[in-house]
Parts: sequence; C-alpha cells; structure tokens
Amino acid sequence: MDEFEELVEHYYQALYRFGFSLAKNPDRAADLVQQTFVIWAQKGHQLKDRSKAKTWLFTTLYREHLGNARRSQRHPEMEISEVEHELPHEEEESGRKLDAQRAVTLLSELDETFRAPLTLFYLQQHSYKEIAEILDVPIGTVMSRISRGKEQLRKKMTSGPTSMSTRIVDFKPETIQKNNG
Amino acid sequence: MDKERAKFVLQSFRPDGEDADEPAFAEALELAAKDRELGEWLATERAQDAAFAAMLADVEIPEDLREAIFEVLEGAQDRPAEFDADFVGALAALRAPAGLRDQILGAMEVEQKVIEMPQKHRRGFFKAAVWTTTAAAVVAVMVAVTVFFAGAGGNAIAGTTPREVEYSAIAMLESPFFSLDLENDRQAAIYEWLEGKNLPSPDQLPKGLKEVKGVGCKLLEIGDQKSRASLICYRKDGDTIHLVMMERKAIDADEMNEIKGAVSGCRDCDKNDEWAVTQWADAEHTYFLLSKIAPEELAAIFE
Repeated sequence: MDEFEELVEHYYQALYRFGFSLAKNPDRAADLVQQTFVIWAQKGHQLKDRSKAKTWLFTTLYREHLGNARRSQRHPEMEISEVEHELPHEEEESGRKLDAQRAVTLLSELDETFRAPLTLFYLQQHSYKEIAEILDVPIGTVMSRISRGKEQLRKKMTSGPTSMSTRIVDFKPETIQKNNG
Repeated sequence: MDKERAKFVLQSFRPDGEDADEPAFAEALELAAKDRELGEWLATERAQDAAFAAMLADVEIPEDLREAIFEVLEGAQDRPAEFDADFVGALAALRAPAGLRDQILGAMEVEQKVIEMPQKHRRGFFKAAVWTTTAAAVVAVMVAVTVFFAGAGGNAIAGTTPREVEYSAIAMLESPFFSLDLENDRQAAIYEWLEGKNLPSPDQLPKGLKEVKGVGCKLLEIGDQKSRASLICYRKDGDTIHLVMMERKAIDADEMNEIKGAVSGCRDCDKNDEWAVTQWADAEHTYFLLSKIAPEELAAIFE
C-alpha cells in the first residue's frame, strides 16, 4: 500500500466524522473529505515532516470547511434534526446507531466556537496541542473551549428530547481500568 | 495548582489515556491521585467522555466514501488544481514558523509577567518602540464589524464604583451606535493620540497584550464629574480585548487590588455573562479589562 492509500485508510473515517460535525450534512462531510485528499495528493509533497500528515489533513479539512462556509450563501445549512429523515433510514434496531446520530446532533447544536475543538477531542486522535495546531489557536484557548463546550454539551444531554441522562455514564469500565494500568 | 485549575486542565485529558505522559497533565493528575474528591470527579469525567467518544466512534461512514476518494483523485490528476487565492494562502500558512511550538508551550506557564514601560523614556517611547519578546498570540485579520458602527456613539460611563463602571462600559460596547474615535492597529499610534489629548495610556500592560495589534481608542467621560478616561481596544487571537483606564480619583477605588490580583479576579460579569472582566488599580489609575471570552482566557492574557 503506498503512502497515499495508507493515509486514506488511517484517517478518512475520522476526517468524515469531523467533517460531519462541522458541516452538519453527510454529503458535505463526504465532499470535505474527498477535497482534503485531493489537496493532499496535489500539495502534500510540500510537507517535509511526514509525521505531521495527520494534523495537516485535519487542518486542511477545517480550513476547507471555513472556506465553504464563507463562500456558500445560497444554500443555508440544515440542522441535522431537519434532515435526519433524509439520512439512510434503517430500522432503529441498534441503540448504538441512535447514539451515533445523537452524538452528531448534539455536537451540531453547540456554538461553532466549541464544536470543532470538542469534536477533535472526542475523536481522541489529537492531543490538545495538535488541536491547537489544527485550529490555529493557543493551547489555553483550546482548553478553555473544551471546558466550556463540555459544559454546553452536558446541559444539552441532560435536558429536552435529546436527553441522554440515562446513558451518560454508559462506559466501558475495562477501557478505564486498562489505561489506569 | 488548586482543584479548580486541575479540573480545568484535566477536562482536556483524553479518556483513552493517550495523554498520560503529557507533562501538562502531570501536576493535575498527581493532585487527583491525592485528593479523593478530585479523583472521583476525574473518574466520572473520563467515564462520561469515554461514553460520548464511543457514541461518536459509531457514526457510520458512507460505504462508498473510500472508493469515492480514489475516484476523485483520479479525476483531479487529469486537470490542474483550481484553488482560489485565499485557500492557497491558507495552505501556505500551514507550516508553522520555527520556534512557534516552543513559544506555545512557553505560554502554558502560569506565572504572571507584567512588563513595566520605562517612565523616563515615555515621551520618546513611541519613537523608539523596543518591545520585549512575545507570547504565542496569533493576530487575526480585522475586528467584528459592530465595533466600527458609524453614528453618534456615546462616551459617557456612568457610576462611581468599579462594578457600576464595568456594567456601564459593557453596555456602551454593546451599543449598535458604539464607535471608536481613532482606529489604528499600531499601539504606538494609539498611545500617541491619547497623549495628544491628555488622556491616560497604560504604564503597565498584561504581557499578552504587549505585542498584539491595536484596534483603536476612544475618549470616555466617567460619572457625573465627567472625568476623562481612555478606552483602548486590542486584537488578540481573533478576540477584542478592551481596556478602560482612568485616574484613580475618578471613582471609589479603595477596594481595588493591584495588578497581581487581576488574574484571580477574572470572572464573568454578573450582569452579562458573555463578558469576562477583571480590574486593578495602581497609585494613579484604575484599569478595567473586558472581553467576550472566557474568564480563563482573560486570565491567560496576564501570563
């Protein structure tokens, strides 16, 4: 597998999830991912430190999203909840699918300032330093936005129809124990 | 490090434990290991974070996305890239300048550093502007449009107590008719203008404002006596930071702390929590720092 294929395999899913939380639309998210890799194919050779490829990709996607947001005036963004019926409708056989959609809905309802850093945090692929680099803000700002974003997220999770209070601590104990060594 | 600071830091600690070796979290983790309440808080926080991360990880990826990526690439290779100039510029900016990472890490230090402007050089200061080394602030493009609303902007700040001044200043800044008397991105030019109007300009500045661009300034009148004061606006990381300063005698400043107390004094304005505020006073002047950012971000300006 060449380098490009390897990068696609490693990161396209996380990039899609990041793009989905930003664009609030699965088609636009897919477009963002595709465009990101096109740009990588054409410009990636300029990146001297190949270990920075991951950050480069997420930064590029984020900037592409910002550029689209500035340029696009003709197509107002739809909230996930408004277009959920357009998403591939599958039987709600899986609580995990509902949770996944709900996670994206909740993130899409956050203030834009918090959405990107919080999504990157929960994708768990980036340290706070890398998030600062991707979003081009100081580290202190990233920490503050994660803190305030979580506060907003928790409020949304524990109120209204999107309340997830019963699942807020549905975690995998073995993961925590494993990491605690 | 106190518990509140530890909680703030640990909220950025990834639930999968990837950050376990990060020095920035070491002190907070150590405190959590010793303090039961903090330890329990951390366990709950990580559990909640892990649950949400698991939800996000279950977001389904379109089945054909991977193939679509390769198809688009094949198509793109057949034609020259078409990017607008803005995006090309953005890509070119992706490469961080040498030393930026170290500067960012240096900005994590919690020590408050205040730069004294040399009194004896004050008159010649703006001509020989030698600035000290910088923090890791990235200067944004231009301030929000509302700051430059044309029209009759008021300059009256009501009140005789610090809180009253704070509320009144925020109300003025939020007015759609607010405007600056001078718009200039050079701090030296702003201070020169203030000096020409016999208006106060800062002898001390929080370190994080030393090297940032200015936005402008405005003459203010405080209270019934209409004491003359200055509003100076700075641009830092895309946010506008407002400094209101006046002669100490203009208001009742007996309860105001020195600048060292301004860090811990950073808080949400209790009448408008979109604004973070802090204040301090020296022998001659009182200062109010206000911005629509989080109190933690305001405190970071002093570091």
